[in-house]
Amino acid sequence: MHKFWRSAKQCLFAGAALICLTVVSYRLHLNLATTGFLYVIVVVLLSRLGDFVSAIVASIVATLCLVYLAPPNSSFRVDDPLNVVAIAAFVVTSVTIARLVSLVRKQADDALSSVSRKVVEAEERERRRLAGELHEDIGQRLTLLSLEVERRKTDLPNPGTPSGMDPLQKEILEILTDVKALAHELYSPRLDYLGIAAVMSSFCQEFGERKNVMIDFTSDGLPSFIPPEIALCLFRVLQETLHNAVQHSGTRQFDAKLWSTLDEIHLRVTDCGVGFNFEKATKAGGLGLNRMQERLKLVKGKISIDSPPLGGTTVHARVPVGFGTDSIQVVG
Amino acid sequence: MVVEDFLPFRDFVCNELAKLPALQVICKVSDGLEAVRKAKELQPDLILLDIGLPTLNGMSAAQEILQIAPESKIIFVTQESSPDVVHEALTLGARGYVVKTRARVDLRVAVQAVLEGRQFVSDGIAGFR
Repeated sequence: MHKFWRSAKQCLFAGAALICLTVVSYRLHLNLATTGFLYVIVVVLLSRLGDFVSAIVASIVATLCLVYLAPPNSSFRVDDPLNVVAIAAFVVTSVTIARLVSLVRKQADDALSSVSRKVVEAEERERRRLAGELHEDIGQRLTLLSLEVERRKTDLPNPGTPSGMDPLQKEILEILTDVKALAHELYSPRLDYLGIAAVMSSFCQEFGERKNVMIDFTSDGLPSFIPPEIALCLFRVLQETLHNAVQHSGTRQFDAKLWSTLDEIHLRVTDCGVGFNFEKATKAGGLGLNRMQERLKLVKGKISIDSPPLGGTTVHARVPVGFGTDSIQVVG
Repeated sequence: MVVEDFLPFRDFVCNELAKLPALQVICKVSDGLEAVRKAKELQPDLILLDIGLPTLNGMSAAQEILQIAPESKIIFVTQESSPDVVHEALTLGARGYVVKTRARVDLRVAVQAVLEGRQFVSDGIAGFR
């Protein structure tokens, strides 16, 4: 429906542009060839900015303008077979150009989307690899080190009494906690076996403890199965949003809610902080907003950000479920 | 049966189990799919299972093992200490849950408790014991 209205708007815009052009041609006494050439430029511009349907409509309107509205001294007389051929040539040329431009645009969009997908896949692969190294190698070695310290504590003359080993073991366990938290932030294997709500809840709790902020996470009415690529995408949006919020909002209280409607899953993160200028932040490429948008695009999702000055920030991501998504392949 | 992909820790687990004379380690494997295959073949009494495993994570492996070897008792021995993970593990049908950092104290206690038909969860996990 949204697409239909966009096309309708473009058609109206094209019609208005062509009529204005006709008036200008009339006033300036331009000849038929120049007027026709200007019409073709309008059709090309519209194909570049709009969609194929609106470009075709513009071609037809341009033809009608040529036949009936162009300066009377240069209008076609449609009873002349040669003029009919010229009109047909104009229609074929403008439709072909519209088609070609729309094809090139589609290919460029596909290429961009393919690059985005590859970047996201590569990023996820690398995150997974680093998380694996941290969790399965460094984490395990620290665990063994802690167990070894514990063994040596029992070898001491008075086992069970406080010793110099205690702060050492405490330090090792603290490093281990940080390493595990970092690994989970890079890639949480819990996504493979816990539901997205439980993973988000754990993340909010761990992240809140680490950053010394309060994050109230709630979830409601989620379907029993959420495709992994959607779960991962929403999890990344939550991470990015909370990082931004903690860093820029100036407040220490945040709310995150995950819920589903009939055909969409929603994630909303709100704070009561100072807000930020969305346009400025997007143009500056900061805050990871572009990355969130690109990620959501890959699962046909959308993000909206409401952040009036000093009025807090609400980030709302929604992803359709039940319709085919272009899954992100991450091979570990 | 011991399922652990980090070999030094697997050795540690086996050494701890060797201190229990009633037990014999009949198989050591390092990935989830192999664990399922061996569980089906050997029907072990007790399986010590890590969660972060290659090819198939410990949770999914446990689910499959409990279908094909329903008599096997599973104890998770893992770095995960999140209450959600522990809850999920016990819901799946695991009899015990040992956090690796507490393995020196808890492992043998957990094994004995589970073999006696009791449930065991390491201390320090919010909401459990």
